[in-house]
Order: sequence, then C-alpha cells, then structure tokens
Amino acid sequence: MPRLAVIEAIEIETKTEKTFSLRLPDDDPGMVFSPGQFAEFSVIGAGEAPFGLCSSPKERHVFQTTVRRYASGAVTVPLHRLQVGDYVGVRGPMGNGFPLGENLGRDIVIIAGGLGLPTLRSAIFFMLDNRDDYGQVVLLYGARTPEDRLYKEDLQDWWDSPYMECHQTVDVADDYWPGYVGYVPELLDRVELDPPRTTVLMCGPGVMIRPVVSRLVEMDVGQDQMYINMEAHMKCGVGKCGHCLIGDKYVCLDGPVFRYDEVEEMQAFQNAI
Amino acid sequence: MDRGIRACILAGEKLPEALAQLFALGDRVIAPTQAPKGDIFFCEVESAAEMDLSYGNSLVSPTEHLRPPKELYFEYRLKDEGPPEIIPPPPPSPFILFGIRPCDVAAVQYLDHFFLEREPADKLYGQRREVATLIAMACVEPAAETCFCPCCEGGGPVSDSGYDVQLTRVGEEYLVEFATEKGERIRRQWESLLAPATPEIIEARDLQKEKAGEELFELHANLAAAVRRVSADTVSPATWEEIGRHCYGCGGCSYLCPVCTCFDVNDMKYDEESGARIRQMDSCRLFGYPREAAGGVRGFSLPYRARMYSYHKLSYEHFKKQGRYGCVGCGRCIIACLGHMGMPTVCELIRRPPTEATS
Repeated sequence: MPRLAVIEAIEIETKTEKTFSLRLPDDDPGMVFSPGQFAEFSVIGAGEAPFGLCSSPKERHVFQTTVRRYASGAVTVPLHRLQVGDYVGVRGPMGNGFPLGENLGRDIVIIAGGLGLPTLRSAIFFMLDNRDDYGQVVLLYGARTPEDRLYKEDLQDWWDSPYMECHQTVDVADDYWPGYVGYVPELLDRVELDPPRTTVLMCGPGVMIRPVVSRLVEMDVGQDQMYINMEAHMKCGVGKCGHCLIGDKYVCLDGPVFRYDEVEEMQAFQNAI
Repeated sequence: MDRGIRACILAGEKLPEALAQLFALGDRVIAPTQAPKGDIFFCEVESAAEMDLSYGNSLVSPTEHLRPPKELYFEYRLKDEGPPEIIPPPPPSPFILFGIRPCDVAAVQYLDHFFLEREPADKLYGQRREVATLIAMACVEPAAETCFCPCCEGGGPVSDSGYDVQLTRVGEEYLVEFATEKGERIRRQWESLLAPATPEIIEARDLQKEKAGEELFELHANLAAAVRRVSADTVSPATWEEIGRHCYGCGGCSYLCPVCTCFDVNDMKYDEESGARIRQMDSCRLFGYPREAAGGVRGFSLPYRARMYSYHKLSYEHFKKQGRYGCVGCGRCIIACLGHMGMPTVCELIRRPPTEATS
C-alpha cells in the first residue's frame, strides 16, 4: 500500500529529466534509506515504477528522485505533468544500496554515465557528510552533451570543492563547453589511482560500463572492488513479480547494487544463448 | 500416524452427507464443477449437487483461489482538492477448497514458501491463505494421462503434508486424515459420520500409494536428470534453440502452472475520477515481460525464455531459495502447450541432445 507524499519542488534538469522533491507527512517514519536504494513511485491512476533516490540520506521527510520522461512512458509522462502540491504514492526504500559502510578509509571512485548519476549523487552527499571516513573521493561523469548533464549546480559545487575531485566529459560539445570531450573510460587516464586502495561505484549504460571495466582491470583494480547499480530491470520491488530475475538473482532484492563478478555471472546467463 | 494427524474412516455412502455438512460451517465452499464442454473448474458452489465428483483434475489449478489471476491492491478516488483517497479491498471471507489434488497441495506449499516465508511476505496472499481450509482428495489412479507427479520430488498421488484434511478412497471407504487446527474444525463437524481408522485401512492405503507411484503412471518425466544438467549448466544452446523453436510465446504454460507466480502491476481506470491498482499474472514466455526502464527489451529470444522458465523451475540455485523444485507434475503445461513442449518433453530434450530427441 503506497504512502502519499506531496511534491514540494520540481527542478527541471534537462529537456527530458526532472527532479522531484517530495515531502512525507510528519507522522510518517519518513524515507530512511542508504545511497543506492530505490523506491516505488506512483501516479495514482496511471501506475507505479521504481526510481532511484538521489537526495542526501540525511533528510528523512524530504527526499528527491530524478525521472526521465519517455514518450511511451505509462508512469513517467503523467509524473512529468504533475505540479507542486500534487500527490505521489511511494513505497520503499527498497534494495541493498552501495556498500559505503564496508569501505571506510578507502579511495572511492564514482563513475556515472547519463542517467546513472542520481543514486551516486546520494552517495556523494553521504561521503561529503562523512568526509573523514574515506580517502580520495573522485567523480567521473559523462553525458551526451553539456545540456544533458544532470545536477549542473551540484557538479559546479563538486568541481569547486576541495574535498573531492570531479571530472566531466561529454560526447558532443557545444560552443560554450570548456571541458573534456570524449568517452568516460578516457577520463580514467586523467586521475591518479592507487588500485589496491580503490573501490569503484558505477551506474550507467552497458556501453559505458564494459569499456570502463576493462580499463579498470588493466589498471589492476580488483573486480571484487567494483560495484554496479543495475536498477533498470525492476518492477514490483519486493522480489515477487519476477521481472528482474536474471539467473537466480532478483535485481530488486539481491541488488540493485552488485559486485562486478556477480554481474558477470548474470551476464553470462543472459548471453549464453 | 505421526505429526498429530488424526485418521478416521468415512463410509463411501456417507460422503454426500459429509459434503452437505460442509455448508453448515458458514464458509464459502469451492469445489470442482463441470463446465458445459466438460472441463473441470474449481468454483464456488451452493450445494453438493453442483459438485462434480467424478473429476480427474481441473484445467486451471485451484491455486487460482489463493493467488487469483487478477486481484486488487486498492481502489482510488481522485479529488479536486487534497490527496487521492486510497481504499483497500475488503478482506477475503473464509472458504473451504474441497477436492484439491495432491499436486495442487504441493503447489500450495510452494506458494506458501514463496509468498509468505520468503521475505518480504505478501499480504494479499497471506490474507487468502489464512482463511482457506484445504480438503484434499488423493488420487487412487492418475487423474489424467498427462499426470506425472511421482517423478517430482515430494510429489505423488497422495500428499504427505500441506493439507488440512485429506480423503483417500480405499475400496468402498475413505480414509480421512485431519492434520491441522482448521482440519480439526471439519472433523468436529463430521464427528457423527466418522469411525476410528483401523491399522488395516492405513496399511491398505499405504500399499495403494506405493503401487500408484510405481506402476500406474504411464507418463514419466526425468526431472532428476534435467535438474542435474540445468544446475550444472551443461545444457547445450542447441537444446534451448530446439525448445524455443516449438514455443509460440503464448504464455499458456505459465498461466496454467500452479506454481508460476509472476505478475504485473497496473492501474485500471473505472472512469476519470476512480479506478484500481491491480496485479495480474504475467509470464516469462511473453515478449514484453522484461521491458526495462528505458523501454528496451534485452535479447529476449524464445530460446532464452525457455531457458529462463526451465532454470527457474529446475535449477538447484532456485531450489536453495525455495526448498523444492518448481514442478509438481500436474501436467497442465502438456495440455497448454501448442508446440507439445510440456515439462516431460523439455526434461527429455535437456537430458538428450536435440538431434536424437526431436520428433
């Protein structure tokens, strides 16, 4: 049964993506989540879909999610039509989240492509709040064009921040883009890593993940130190509906964050025929 | 008898009276009935006369009353001002499921584990299960030529557990076993009709059970061999190609399978202001099943679907999560499949390379 949250603010990120700030009533326990977890959001009368939580886990009663509108989206189109003050059904949080608590003291490299950034943004907020618990924090973010980048203000803040490194790239630049043009794996050559101390958190399209992983392997980063958020497959969120089942893993229950060796097994299952 | 099962004898001629007395308990009674063209369905009945007691097994598993193909999460009413109203469905009223066959009893045990014991528990299933009393009717002979329950681990024509009451026909009498609190309620209702069980009848039943398992079933499925090969991942892609070649992607096997659990969640509009959120059965054999966030469908070929279906039912990895394999030997997939790819054929193809086994 969903709880009802009211839309407090809507931030237009790009032409197709909006970030919704939602408030739960004070008598609700709130959204107590860890970075990487997701929740089920519904427009009552249209349907329900899972989206990652992208705000700081510090806030309980106000939380955010970023949603891309697809032309055929049964939920995303009506969701994008909602205004401040409208109600959204939420269930959650769900899933396992990134293993931030287990990687204290290590260097964290965050690699995001396009719409992969939201849950990692939550992880960045968490690490900046607990800065002393981690070594280097590095963000590598790639988008198609400068316009397509999410959270442009946050990216600027992170770029300016003395507490973390932030590298961005775009596939196609415009006249005003001062930064790097190229693909995400190329950014890896611009950072200095200490492989044995490094844990990598990733989320992005498969075409980005594969070359990034092979580059990281070349750099001697262990496959057991790479974590990937695979939230694209889910539906019910509680391991019952079966849609996200790959082999014997339910992405929504056993994930959505998986260690790379687990991902390889799942991909082997998918690619066997 | 162990495990606190109380065994009694019900004389064959007293069965109609026993059935009539079920209605006195006030629960809804769901029992096998015959549809106009002869298919059997488990439907709510108002008198014993509506039941068909010469049935083999139903076309659709009686588990549909515990996990309906379509059910309500909630109804909603949109308001001009303020939050939409969300109205949970009324809780289900108690019912007796009479005449459920041992394969479906095994399926209920599977569903109990899947929906209730595996966290998080499913509330809708839990509510229905709680008010359901299962009266099983053991099979003295195969209910149909498509039956192969003795080949399934923990299966067979007589249930060992999972029922509240089980009737087994032995000659002109029924051995009636009451296994639970809910069963005890039925026993009290039937008290005047029952006689204490004798060691002879129990022995006769056990003999009958053994014989049925070994001799009477003509159809065999080599599930054990299929399980070994699927779990060890030694099935060749050619096998899946072959199964996929016969698959129309209609989903019939999963819609009839008593242990298939996949569903889809949708909002259904009654009108502009009101509607309901429902879940309805879905099948991994259908094309749109794994649609992803971006609307894409990753390489979901018919062979891949066949493999996914078999892997879910037959692999040791899923056995570890579920406590039993996902086939109870009811044979409904054999009836459903247009391409003649029921579970026994699939097992055979998995066991032997397709070049030898193709028809």
